[in-house]
Amino acid sequence: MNHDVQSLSPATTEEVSAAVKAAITHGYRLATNRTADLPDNFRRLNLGAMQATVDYPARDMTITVQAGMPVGTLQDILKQENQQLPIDCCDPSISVGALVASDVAGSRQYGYGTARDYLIGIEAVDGTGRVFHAGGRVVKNVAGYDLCRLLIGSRGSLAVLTQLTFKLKPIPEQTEVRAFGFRSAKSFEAALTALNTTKAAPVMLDFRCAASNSADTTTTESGLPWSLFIGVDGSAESCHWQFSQLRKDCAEAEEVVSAETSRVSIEEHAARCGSGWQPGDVIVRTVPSELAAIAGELAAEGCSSSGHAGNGILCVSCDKPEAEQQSLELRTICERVVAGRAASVTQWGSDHPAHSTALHSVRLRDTFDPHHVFTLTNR
Amino acid sequence: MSATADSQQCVITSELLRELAAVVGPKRLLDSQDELLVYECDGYIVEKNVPDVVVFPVNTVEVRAIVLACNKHNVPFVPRGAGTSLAGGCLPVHGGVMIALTKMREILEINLRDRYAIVQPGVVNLNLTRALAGSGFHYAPDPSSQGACTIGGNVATNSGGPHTLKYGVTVNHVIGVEFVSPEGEVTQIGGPIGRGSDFDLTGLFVGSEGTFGVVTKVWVKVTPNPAAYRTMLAIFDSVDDTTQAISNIIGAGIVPAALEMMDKGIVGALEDAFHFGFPLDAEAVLLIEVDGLEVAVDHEAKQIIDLCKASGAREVRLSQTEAERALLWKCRKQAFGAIGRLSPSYCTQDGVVPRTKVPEILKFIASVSERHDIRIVNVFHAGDGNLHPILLFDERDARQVQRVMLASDEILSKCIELGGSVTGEHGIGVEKISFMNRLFTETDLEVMDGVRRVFNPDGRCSPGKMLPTAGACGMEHIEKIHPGRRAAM
Repeated sequence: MNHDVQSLSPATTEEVSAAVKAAITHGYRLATNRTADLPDNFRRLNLGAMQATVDYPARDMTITVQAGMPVGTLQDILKQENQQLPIDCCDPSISVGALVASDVAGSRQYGYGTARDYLIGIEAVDGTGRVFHAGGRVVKNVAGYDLCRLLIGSRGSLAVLTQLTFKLKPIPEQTEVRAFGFRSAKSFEAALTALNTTKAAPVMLDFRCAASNSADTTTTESGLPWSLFIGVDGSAESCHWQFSQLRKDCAEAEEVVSAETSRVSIEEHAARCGSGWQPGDVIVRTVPSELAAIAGELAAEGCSSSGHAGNGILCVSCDKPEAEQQSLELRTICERVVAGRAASVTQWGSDHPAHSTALHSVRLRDTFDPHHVFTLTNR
Repeated sequence: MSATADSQQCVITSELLRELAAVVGPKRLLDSQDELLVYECDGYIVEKNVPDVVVFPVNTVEVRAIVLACNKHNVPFVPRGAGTSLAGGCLPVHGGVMIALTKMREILEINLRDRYAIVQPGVVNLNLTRALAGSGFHYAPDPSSQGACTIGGNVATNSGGPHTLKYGVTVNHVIGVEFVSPEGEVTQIGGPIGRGSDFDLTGLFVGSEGTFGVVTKVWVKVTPNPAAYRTMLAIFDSVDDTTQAISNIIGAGIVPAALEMMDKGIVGALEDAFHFGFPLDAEAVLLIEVDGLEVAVDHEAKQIIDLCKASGAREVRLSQTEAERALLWKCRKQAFGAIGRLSPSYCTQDGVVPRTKVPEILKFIASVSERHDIRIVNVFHAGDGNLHPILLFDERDARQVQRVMLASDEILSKCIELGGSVTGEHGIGVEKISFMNRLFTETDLEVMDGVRRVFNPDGRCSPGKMLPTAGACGMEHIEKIHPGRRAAM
């Protein structure tokens, strides 16, 4: 492993293409991620010099930017027109290309969806140096294969994204998050079931569940083992009405004991949640109806968890990212708990499409990256 | 004698027919010319070609056996839903075997708690929403043909509809697909818990126009019904004012659930058909719907009404009852059916422009209509900038057909020039295949061809769709060198 890998900083798409071709010629590989350590035969491809706004027709509610633009910069530009890309990202310094390539989606994915719902056009460079495009700059377009969605979450294993076009949403008048506490998995699930048919329109249903052996349940904000963070947006009147409705929904759920905390904005909530998932964290994806039971069983095993309850996503954090052993143990526990359920267990940072052995995924990698320029592992 | 997918019309052997009959039985196999004629085209009537045989499987096992038989005999095959595609998506370009999925129409599971349903590909779109009636949920993609089109077909073309302005198109609502690959393997991608840590193959598959395999099962999201609606009909004395209102609504950052425009020609036909009370002297109307919280919809509706009036609307009617709202939507969704009152044949285009370019493209369409002496009426998804100019003609008149082709070409070329696309929801099919090298670079198409080969290496599944062959000049749709035969003239 090399901490001081050579970094390439292309300023244009053509330079990205040239870097890929040079990698093929000279037999080294390219990585676009921010991983500290890379094997010796790697060069880091840093798109930091590609941060331009290509086109922002605000009245069309679309924007095209270069992939190296930090997410925070993008949101600042959009804010000037009272618009947003409603994908929450804990680190505003992450590039827009990385946001898409890793398919990061935070708290508001319950109400707003993910990159899949906003990316409408791309320019990218594949593993042979070919510059290609897909989609376009209009909000509705079915011409050609949807390579935009193929590259979302592909972790740079097929191509380097160089330019992206998104459709946008207006910024709501206000956002508001409140935390509700619950004593048990049963009452938590009862509340989630009630909220599934609420007349309100929550955009966020996040949760935290403390490990059963945890002495300090205050880490769950509500002071109870289970905290549900409900986020809404809209006008002040709308937010007020929605929380009165949501309180009723929660109260009607069987055995619910709720302790409501004071309100914060979704941005404040995101800041409190910290820096998001870290390498080594174990991610469980399940159907929403299984989440409470899985989190409850993990709590009994001594694992606290958090995540997006409305989307059936929970994360068991590894305290020491460098401690591979701990991460593997957590994974083993999670796999035991989810056995027989509609759920999958992955580790953030290591399980991704570059490792898929599914027939079509292997063929796609061979098609886009025949020289293994973007491959982190031998295949 | 067999044929490769690259050759012209293939020939089906009696051995293949026997094998197919052994799979589906004689009652679910059609091979007589008069029966096959029903399947010679879809909603795009300009090009036609009869399949050699049509089979109606009822399950995945049968679909797989059919595909394997086609492979064994080196015969192309094409899946078909209800045949409502408007771009020739299920045209059997080289003949071969048509796999009609209309008998695979079971709703296999509805899971409201986890907000998904599993359906077979032949389930009619509206039937899923009907099955959900009373549950508080619905299936959001609502193409105008939703009373007939199938969810498998929607997956193939990534269908849209009026309410996709707020809710997104089919791909935003499909979380998994089971399909029989062109190599005969049953493959599941995605499912109730999404794509896991693999590529988003579901997202790639949706909109692949039948070229990646035959869909046998679909996992779709079901969406909570909004608590409240406000549906408005804004009436304008000029098309310019109407398009300005569209631009002003979107420019103000308001995203209605639907924002549909209908011009005078369509309004007249609809009034004839439904007697809704549309103003026949209006130049255009906007059908606008906002939905969401009861506490919020009135405010949004008022904003829209104010913007329409400021843009020159002479009147904005607010739908007063659910029955009135339902009738308004019935009129909109059956607009294409009412066209029969205007002409014997029509061709609908599907161009898209940036939303603020709607005024410009509508002026251009009017000039094209005049220049080619072809009457064009408009009913379209204004909020998305997704146009549906409907070119009215008589397919028995060859000169009219030629003028329609030229007019269509000019309109779609203008959409590209304005930064748009040639299709927002109908797909490329065979109709717009020659536009692909105007929309995309040679490298783009080469990459897409590589992706097609990943799924469909022998090219036997839905040949002649989506991607142009090497050396195409981009005018083939006018010169008519497609292998399909022309509409009756």
